[in-house]
Amino acid sequence: MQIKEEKQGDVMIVTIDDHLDTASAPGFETRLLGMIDEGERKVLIDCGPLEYVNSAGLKVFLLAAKKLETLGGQFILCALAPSVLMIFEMIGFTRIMKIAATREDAQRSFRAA
Amino acid sequence: MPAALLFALVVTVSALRSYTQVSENGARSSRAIARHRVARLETVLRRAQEIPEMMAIQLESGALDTEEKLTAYMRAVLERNRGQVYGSCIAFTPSGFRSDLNAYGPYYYWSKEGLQFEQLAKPDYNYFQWDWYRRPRDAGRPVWSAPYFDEGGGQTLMITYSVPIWRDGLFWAIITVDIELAEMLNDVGAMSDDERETVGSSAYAFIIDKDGKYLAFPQESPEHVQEHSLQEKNTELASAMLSGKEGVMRTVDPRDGKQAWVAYAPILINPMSEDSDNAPLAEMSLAIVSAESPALDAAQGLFIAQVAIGLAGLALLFLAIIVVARSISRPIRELADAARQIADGNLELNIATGSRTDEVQLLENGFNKMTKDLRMQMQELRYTTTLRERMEGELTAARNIQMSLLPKIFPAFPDHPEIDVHAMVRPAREVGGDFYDFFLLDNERLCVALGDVAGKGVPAALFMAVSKSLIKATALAGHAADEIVARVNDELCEEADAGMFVTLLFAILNTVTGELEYCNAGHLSPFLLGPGETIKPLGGARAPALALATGLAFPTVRYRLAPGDAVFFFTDGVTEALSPERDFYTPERLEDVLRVVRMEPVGKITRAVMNDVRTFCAEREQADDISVMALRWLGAPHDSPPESSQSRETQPAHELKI
Repeated sequence: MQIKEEKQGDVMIVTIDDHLDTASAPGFETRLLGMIDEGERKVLIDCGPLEYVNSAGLKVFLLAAKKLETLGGQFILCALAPSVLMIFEMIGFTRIMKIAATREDAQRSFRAA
Repeated sequence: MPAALLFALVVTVSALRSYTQVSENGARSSRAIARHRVARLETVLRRAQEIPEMMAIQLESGALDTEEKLTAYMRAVLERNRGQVYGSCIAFTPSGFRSDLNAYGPYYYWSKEGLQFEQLAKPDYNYFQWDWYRRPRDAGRPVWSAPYFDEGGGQTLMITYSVPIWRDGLFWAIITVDIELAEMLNDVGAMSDDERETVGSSAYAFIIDKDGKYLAFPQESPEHVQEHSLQEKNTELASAMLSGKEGVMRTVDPRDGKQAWVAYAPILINPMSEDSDNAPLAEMSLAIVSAESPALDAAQGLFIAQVAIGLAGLALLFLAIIVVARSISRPIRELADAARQIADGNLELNIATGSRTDEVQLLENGFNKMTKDLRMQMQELRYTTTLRERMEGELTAARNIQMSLLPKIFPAFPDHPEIDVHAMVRPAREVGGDFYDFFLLDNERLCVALGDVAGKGVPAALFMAVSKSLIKATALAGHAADEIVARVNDELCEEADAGMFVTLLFAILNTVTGELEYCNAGHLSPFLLGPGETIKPLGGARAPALALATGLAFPTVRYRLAPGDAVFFFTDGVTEALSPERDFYTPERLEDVLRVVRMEPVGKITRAVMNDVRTFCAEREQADDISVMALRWLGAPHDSPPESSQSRETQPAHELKI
């Protein structure tokens, strides 16, 4: 799985690959939780390329969200494809996570917080 | 081996070169000796020439005018040159000495008895006819005779020098000097020790006359010598020697017929004459024969020594090579042995050959590093194997937990023919958290649940166990459906710390009325299987998954089932099963299968779906648990007829808003 990281101000933007499944989730989890451990408090996941995510992948988002919540940080997902957003809604993630339409919206949310 | 051949070649060539050089040196030496001998002989002969010249001067001066004076003078000359001059004679022309004497030839010679006199002018000896008189007279100049064996008084090998003298322009007399050659030649022919050292121990000299007859030959008496000629033995050498030139040749030794080096030089006796045009005659020729083997003794010795040294060197070289090869091959053999042992599994082996060769040490270090690395890798492998076994054990444990918790006895409710339930889970190798459950809350309420815990392995299995227990406990506590799910959620939120969440389908069926109250917590919608062609997803009642957050509401919906209607619950393990080509199974394919088997007994429905998924996945390993559950309501039981009339109002099943 290819993960791109770029820092814009105090926001760490992580762009993920098209598949987040049982195979790729552990690597992503290590990376994502690792950067939080290193001190990142504002994490934006750009799900633009993401086409498929299963429960293993969703678990990573949940973990990161909960962790940042307890640390007083922010976790925002943006640019979800309709199919992905549907899953998020089905599972109920849309209720417990911040989901933005675009990166810009997400950045605004970070600043507003 | 090529090095050895090269070495042998070098030794041989060098030895041969030395051999050739030495043998050439030998030839040169014998040539020098020959020249030296000839020069000595020539000196002696030249000195002998002076005697008659002096006598001629005396005679021409007129001082020897009387017989007494003449003979006295001759005697004196012979006395003075005793040992060198054997005899001398003065032979006058007719009436040359005295007018009354027709011939006068006084001749003095040495014999054993002393100086003898003989008058050559005698009736039986007409000296005017003899060569020694005629040749110088006719030639008008002194002449050397050929060497000859004097059978008269001398009994020895002689040579005579005859000098013609003139008075008043007219030929007057011949003065001769006989020179004994034998002794001189033998002297010349003898080899000194020094010379033998140079040209070989068996070297010898011989002298031939101009006809090729031997004049001097070692260990041969003078008489015998004259009877043989060189031509008999070696014509090649004879013609070379008689050519009047000097030279060296390799030819047959006239003495024993073996190959030898022969150096030869002419003995040129120059008569004293102003006529230099006359080529000196080669009256004799001297040869130094150095038999090949002695001449080359030194050379051969050198050759042999060099070859021996070469061979010894070669042997030493081989010895050294063998020693070096051993010292290299021994540790290598040890290493090879060690390699075999290592291959046999002895990784504890530590190699120490003690070799000082760099390469061997490198090899040795490499070997030891290799065994060490192998040892470590083996340990690591053992460790990971243990770990893996432990993990497999964990997985098995997790699977066992999961499977042991699930009700697997069918038919599940033999006492309730109005309901039929069947469920199956096919766990993945690394078990997920799928679960299902069904139990009666009371005589007419059946509770069914099908859930999927996110994640894998033991944590998921345990979370699933907790979830299932909580659901059952909460449900049996007699709460309403929405309440039950909400409570379970709150409980789970306290348990969940590793990002766990559970999607759940929870339903309570009234077995009398066919009313189905149902809640979908983040799960895929179940299908309603009715007699119609359409396979309808049971929509609505959308709620978030469990364990995401506390305090969430979990709304329910109610459906009224018609007798014979069935609901089909499944986890995403079904629809997201992957084919070898990485295609998803998809809900559409599921619908197709369900459409075919919708009226079959529930057990057949679940199995049909499972089989189709298995067919679809083929060889591909199952990534997630696959769970299916089918529940059919067959209508109100006969022994307890439906108390409510509303059960028939809603056919087929439809949503009831609460």
